Amino acid sequence: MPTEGPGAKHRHEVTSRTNDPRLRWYPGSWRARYGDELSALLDDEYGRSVPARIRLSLVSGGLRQRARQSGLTGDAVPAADGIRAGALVVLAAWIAFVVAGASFAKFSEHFDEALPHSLRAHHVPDLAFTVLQAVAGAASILVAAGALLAVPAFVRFLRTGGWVSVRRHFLRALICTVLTIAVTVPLLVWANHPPSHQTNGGIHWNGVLFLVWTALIVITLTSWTVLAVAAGRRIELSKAMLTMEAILAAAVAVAMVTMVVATAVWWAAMATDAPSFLNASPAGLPGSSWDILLVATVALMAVATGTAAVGVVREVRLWTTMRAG
Amino acid sequence: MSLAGGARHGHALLKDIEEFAGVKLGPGALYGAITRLEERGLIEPLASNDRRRPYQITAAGTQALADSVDQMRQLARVGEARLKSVPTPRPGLA
Repeated sequence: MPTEGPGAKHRHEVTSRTNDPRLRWYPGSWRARYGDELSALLDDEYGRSVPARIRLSLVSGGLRQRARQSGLTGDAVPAADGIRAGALVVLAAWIAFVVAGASFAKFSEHFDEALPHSLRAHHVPDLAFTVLQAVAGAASILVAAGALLAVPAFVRFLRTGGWVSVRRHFLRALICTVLTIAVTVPLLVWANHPPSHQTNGGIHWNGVLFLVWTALIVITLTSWTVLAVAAGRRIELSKAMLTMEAILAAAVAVAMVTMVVATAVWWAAMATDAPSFLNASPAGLPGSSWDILLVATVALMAVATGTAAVGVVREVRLWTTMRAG
Repeated sequence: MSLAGGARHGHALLKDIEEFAGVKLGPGALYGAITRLEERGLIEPLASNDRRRPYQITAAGTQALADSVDQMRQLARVGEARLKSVPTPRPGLA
């Protein structure tokens, strides 16, 4: 048998390293199986100070294992679990898209007023915006339908002791929600009745508070999404129900693509007819079409849509496997 | 391929692969490969009282390795034959 490495002296210090913080990116079940030996390997190779390059390798390896175990990649889980993972990726992507959509809604407020009065100038941006709103509404209904379809399975899951496995996620989401509400209420009061010393020169603090509030909203949405994904991975779904969820997820992904296209058309039309609106310059002055907030918003939309597309491709691939099986 | 030379644990696998292939694998990549190979039944762990668990190649793994080596041999043969048919460049015409 080969000899021990330079870090072998550390091996007697710890009897079990399944909780080794260096392996925190790996799923728990994987750590239970391989954690000890990978910890021993790290000790042998690098002793106490693991180089940054190796830490990155562990992060990447851990994320890959998570993707495999959740059914997003590879063939480690049954096809049905992979299809479910694909649908859950679409759900997570949809939540990110909602955040981008809220940002776009705020950005595009009163855009109509910035357009020239000719009918032609209004036609394209109005149509694109109407399509965007209609498709967003339809996609929200599809997501709600998917959630409703899963309710009976979720109740069964809770009744059969599933609560324990999602309790931590639920409590985290609840705390985030309470915190967000606790910040929102005084913020609303303050926004409607700002103290006199804040009305002049208080814009800077408004911006900071708005950013904090936005971050809280995003964190709260993320924590509920994590809960939904954690529960969604564990509930028992019949083949028919899984098919329905997969179809709904694919429809949501198509809606996301449509919305990105509508947003791009709106952007292009506004850049042509009312460029001053895009960078909030006074009407009549030439403005840049590349407002940083709009660029970030559309980039988030595009990334979310791309992620949803990955989920749908995974669904379709595994669907053919499941049908063949 | 490393395990075809005998049972080895992670640290020894890294050293052996570096020696015969000239590639220094990261521990994440090595254990990703170990996980996949074990799931496919191509390698198996041996009992160990130590934290270092050795692995050995299975019969299915040996067969899979033999198939891969055959493919590589075939590829090498084609490459060799085609290299022979390449005309030698004359000096000054490069």
